[in-house]
Amino acid sequence: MSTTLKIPKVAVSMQEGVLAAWLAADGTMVREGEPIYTLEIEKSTMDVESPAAGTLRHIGQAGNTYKVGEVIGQIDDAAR
Amino acid sequence: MAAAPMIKPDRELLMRFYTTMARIHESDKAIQRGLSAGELQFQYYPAGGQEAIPAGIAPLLTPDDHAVITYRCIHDIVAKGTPLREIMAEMYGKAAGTSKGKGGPMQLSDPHSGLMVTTGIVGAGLPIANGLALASQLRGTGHVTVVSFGDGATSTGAFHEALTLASIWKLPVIFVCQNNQYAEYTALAEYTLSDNFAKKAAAYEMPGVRVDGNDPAAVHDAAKVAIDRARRGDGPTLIEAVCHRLQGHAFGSDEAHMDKSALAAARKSAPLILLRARLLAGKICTEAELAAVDASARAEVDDAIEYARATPLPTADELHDDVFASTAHIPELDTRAPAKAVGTPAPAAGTRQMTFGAAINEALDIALGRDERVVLMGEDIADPAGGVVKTTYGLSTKYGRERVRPTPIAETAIVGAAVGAALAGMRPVAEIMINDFLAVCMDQVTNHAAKLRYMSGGRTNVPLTIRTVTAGFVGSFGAQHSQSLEAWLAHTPGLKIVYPTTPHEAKGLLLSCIDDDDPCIFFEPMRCNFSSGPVPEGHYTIPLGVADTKRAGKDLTIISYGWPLVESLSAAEKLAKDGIDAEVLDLRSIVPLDRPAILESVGRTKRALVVHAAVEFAGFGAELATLIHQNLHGALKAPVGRVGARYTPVPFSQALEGLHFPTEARILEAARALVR
Ligand SMILES: Cc1ncc(C[n+]2csc(CCOP(=O)(O)OP(=O)(O)O)c2C)c(N)n1
Repeated sequence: MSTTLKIPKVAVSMQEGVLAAWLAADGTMVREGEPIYTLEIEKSTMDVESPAAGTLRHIGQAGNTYKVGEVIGQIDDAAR
Repeated sequence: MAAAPMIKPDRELLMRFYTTMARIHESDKAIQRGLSAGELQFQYYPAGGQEAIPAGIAPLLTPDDHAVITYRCIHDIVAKGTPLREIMAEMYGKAAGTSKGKGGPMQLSDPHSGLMVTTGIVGAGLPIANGLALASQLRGTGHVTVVSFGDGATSTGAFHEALTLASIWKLPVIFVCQNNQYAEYTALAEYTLSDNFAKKAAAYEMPGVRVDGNDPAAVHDAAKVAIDRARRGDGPTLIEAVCHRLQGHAFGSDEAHMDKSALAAARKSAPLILLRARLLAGKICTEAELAAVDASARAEVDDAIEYARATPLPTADELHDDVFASTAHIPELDTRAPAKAVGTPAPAAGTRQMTFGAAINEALDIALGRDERVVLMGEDIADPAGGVVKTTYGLSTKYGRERVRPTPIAETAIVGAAVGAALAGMRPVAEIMINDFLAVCMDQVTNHAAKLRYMSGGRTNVPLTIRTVTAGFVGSFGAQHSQSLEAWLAHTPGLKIVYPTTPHEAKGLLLSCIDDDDPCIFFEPMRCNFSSGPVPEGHYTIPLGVADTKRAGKDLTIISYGWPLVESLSAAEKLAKDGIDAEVLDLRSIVPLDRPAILESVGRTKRALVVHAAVEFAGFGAELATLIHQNLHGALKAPVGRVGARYTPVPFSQALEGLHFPTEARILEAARALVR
């Protein structure tokens, strides 16, 4: 099983956000709870934690703006 | 602060605390994982730092003890015993959720576990908890109600009103302030000079206890004293459990307003970390045992998430379900064909005469006599006053002050108590003296009474009646005592709105309201209060949503309700002298609405005039005019006319008051213009 990474809704008014930077490289193993990318909205930034453990696949490009719910990556399952 | 535990907690209890806290922690994390992945999208208020509070209290409660909680909910819900699968399905907006996906994290209920209300309105839970506690007190069950709320909620008026009422009524309720140091984006010291909320209790003559909210054993001990006291019948307690919020206000929200070093320290000494250390240091259990608890909590949560993902979304037919007990009462779903108003047969000749007010008194007397669940509450309602216009005179003498309960001047506490008692299956009849005063308790009426059935997916309902006087056009009561606010209420789905004019109907409609499984607002026009009419003896009901033809006619339909119906009828007699034969239709209730009767009558007369005491602009007449235009456009001989109050506050001087309200003269003028 894999976990899809979509742009999260981190504020009631949020419609879109900038994938400011990937904090974990494409293809690396990440732990659950590890910060994997920085999301920028309006005047604030947030390090988004990995919702699962596994191999991170980048789909979105750092620097691009995405709508809430747009797919920007994937975590391919590893045994927890 | 935290007194040393009085009873040395045994291993079993400590492990129970740990297990509950682990389940809370895993649930909270799982929801945040779903939010991080963008799989879930809603405003989520994490519970990190507050796990120990409900975990400490939970072993003292049974599912028959009630809980009322807030939007920051997961710790309280899990501890109360709601199944994780149902919780997670609700978070995913699924049909198998606690509220069938209609409540969400801010507004779910689970009466099976005793979780009666989750509210997204700061402070609003406290008055409702009183009502749940009142039901236990009246039934003598020994059950208690625990209501949790944040430190910020202590600033609300609802807090003050609820503690005032709980204290005077000695209710079996425990107020648990979870002081996490912040109210949304504001630190405690910025919104209050108080540094101790527990001491506020002294002002209400109830015990106030301050405990370390990071320590489940300390919370447990304080709660045990409070719960035992409440079960004994010795009344409420305020507990302040001091803790520290471990993250921003909501998932993803910034932490700029939080003291960084305090936050870092609090994270290091998070309640779960402390308890773990204590269990290991005291050799109460081993690492392996704790790891097993953690793993089993994680597995339970994973199973719940998988279940939530797999289970179906609610279907479209769910949209209108649970607004009322029956979808038949939803105005926009009413597709019944036009049909002559069924009305109610007039009482037989020789039936005794009584005033409108006396008829209401008799209805209340009958309801109290035949149904033990009926309880009255309101300001001045007990003898010797018997109500400001004597409507409830004699009832407290006959049924006692347990069932006919005078209250402090605290409308939010009154309606909240009625909501809570109704949730617990009582049939409360609350009195809000004058309907203008609904403004100070509107949150309880429109956000709670009206919506709880829906927000709970039908798991709870609120069979309460609110009686309220409209004191318009009785002479110089002025801008704040004379309005007719039914349109405010009609705008919130979930309320039934009843507006009688005659003594006969007042009695029968009020008895219907009390029997009804939904919240009913019952207007009592003061202008009608002292007028007499025939009233049958004994118990009878007049169904809601059934209009009555007060005068048959063929040239024009005057649609009205409440006191302007009387002016409409006298206007109709004058019109008859001019050769205009007006039908006068009395709606009697505006929700449910007798759409078939309106369309049948106007379909026949082809002209309609709506007359009501409320301000004409954006009044209920606008809704009626639209209904008629949309359905009878081609048949109408004139556009629908409206006569309501003018767009001004109600003026004091009688010279102006007569210009503000609908009068016979204005009705005549409008009717003639329509028929001309
Ligand atoms: C009546 C009302 N006013 C404002 C809000 C917006 N709001 C939501 S949570 C919150 C802060 C409440 O703080 P507190 O009572 O300390 O509870 P906590 O969030 O810390 O658990 C506010 C102001 C609301 N939901 N209800």
